[in-house]
Amino acid sequence: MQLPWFQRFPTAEDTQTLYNRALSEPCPRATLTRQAEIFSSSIVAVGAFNPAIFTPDWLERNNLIGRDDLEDARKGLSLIVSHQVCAYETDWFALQVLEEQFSLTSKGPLTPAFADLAIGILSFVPHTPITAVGLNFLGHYRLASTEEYHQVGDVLAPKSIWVRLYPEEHATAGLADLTIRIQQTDKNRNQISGGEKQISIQPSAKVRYGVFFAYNDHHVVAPTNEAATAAELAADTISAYWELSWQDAVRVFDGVLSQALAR
Amino acid sequence: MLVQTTSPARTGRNSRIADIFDFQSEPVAPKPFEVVRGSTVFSDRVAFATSVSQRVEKVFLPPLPAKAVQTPVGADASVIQLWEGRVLDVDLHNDVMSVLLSARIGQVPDHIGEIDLQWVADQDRDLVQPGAVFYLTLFKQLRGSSVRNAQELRFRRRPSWSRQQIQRIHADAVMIRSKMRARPIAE
Repeated sequence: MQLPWFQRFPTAEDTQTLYNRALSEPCPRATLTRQAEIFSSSIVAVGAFNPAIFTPDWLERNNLIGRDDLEDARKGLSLIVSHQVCAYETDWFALQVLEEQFSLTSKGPLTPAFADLAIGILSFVPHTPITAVGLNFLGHYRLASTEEYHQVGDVLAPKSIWVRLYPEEHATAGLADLTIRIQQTDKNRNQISGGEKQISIQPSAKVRYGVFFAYNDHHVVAPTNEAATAAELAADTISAYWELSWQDAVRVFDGVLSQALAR
Repeated sequence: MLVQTTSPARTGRNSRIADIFDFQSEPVAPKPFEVVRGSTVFSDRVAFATSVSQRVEKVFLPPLPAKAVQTPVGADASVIQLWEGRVLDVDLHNDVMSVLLSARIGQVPDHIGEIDLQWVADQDRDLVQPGAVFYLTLFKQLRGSSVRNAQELRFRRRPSWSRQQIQRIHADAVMIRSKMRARPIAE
């Protein structure tokens, strides 16, 4: 049985298919109606890690970061390296590794160099047992007015039920957090793999009259042969899907806002 | 399902990381690191009121005085345009590199240009050689109530091919080759 595309190991054919698809489909950024005020990414891997390995010096020795980045990380107040946790940041990323979770977060402008760093790090720990990789994108979008701001919340989460439950004159109901999960299913609506997407929507804490979106593209890492270890497979997953997820996140964020405001 | 991605956050004694900070005798108990087991959602969902992922601060307390914590991880920028560049030639005499730029946003044709090496960070100067790949980004950045436009040039750093990767590529090549057939000779 052919496994779904996001569960099996991405072969050369998969990569070519994705590449062709990316080329044949119009670039979603070209038709966007609005641009994020803040946009960032985070790559999270779940598994069993040895945090003490991932020091800034180790990254620099392996030529994954430069000398300036090393100095940045060393001087940072957040630097901590122990057996249980390794965390530090430079001016363009923050790394945090726990025994069961690896998390790389972008700072400043997002570029593919960020994914390259994650791929590079995981490539240097090929025997780390990784079970899942999440490609996360976070965006803050500014709306033109308070009316638009409330319209988005009202369209996504109608308040009629809550107004009936709390009819008091001075009570209001507002959307604080909405999460939608997208899963691939068969015709009986049974999930056919562990991979899924989650999109969360909240009021922005950073942008006035802004909406915050979080997009999680979750990939299960399940080595099916001995040719690749789990960490290599995780790196391949990031390599194959990170940019596509970025495009999809932007398409979804823009699509949600556009449709909500068109009502 | 092999792993959970939407399980509620576990805090306190459920977190192994929290245990290492138990020795602290702060008047206020330190907020433990939060681990959502099995989740790949980028989540530092400490307090729901301030909500998910928008809390860009560090959310764990290292065994240091509290004032040393809470360094912001400042995501504050948005990309306006992104080019992937490839170094074609380097002219050290005039301190410029000739590059091929391919837009990664929008459908803009490739073009060739020259970039002064002064725009390359010192740490990346060793990487400037024909064939090297870099990213040139135009972005806007929120700084308090002001917005500034800026650019960044960052060279790509990827490890070389591993033995396993080469083996996989070889296996893929063998598979593709096995599907190839010679064209029939026209009579």
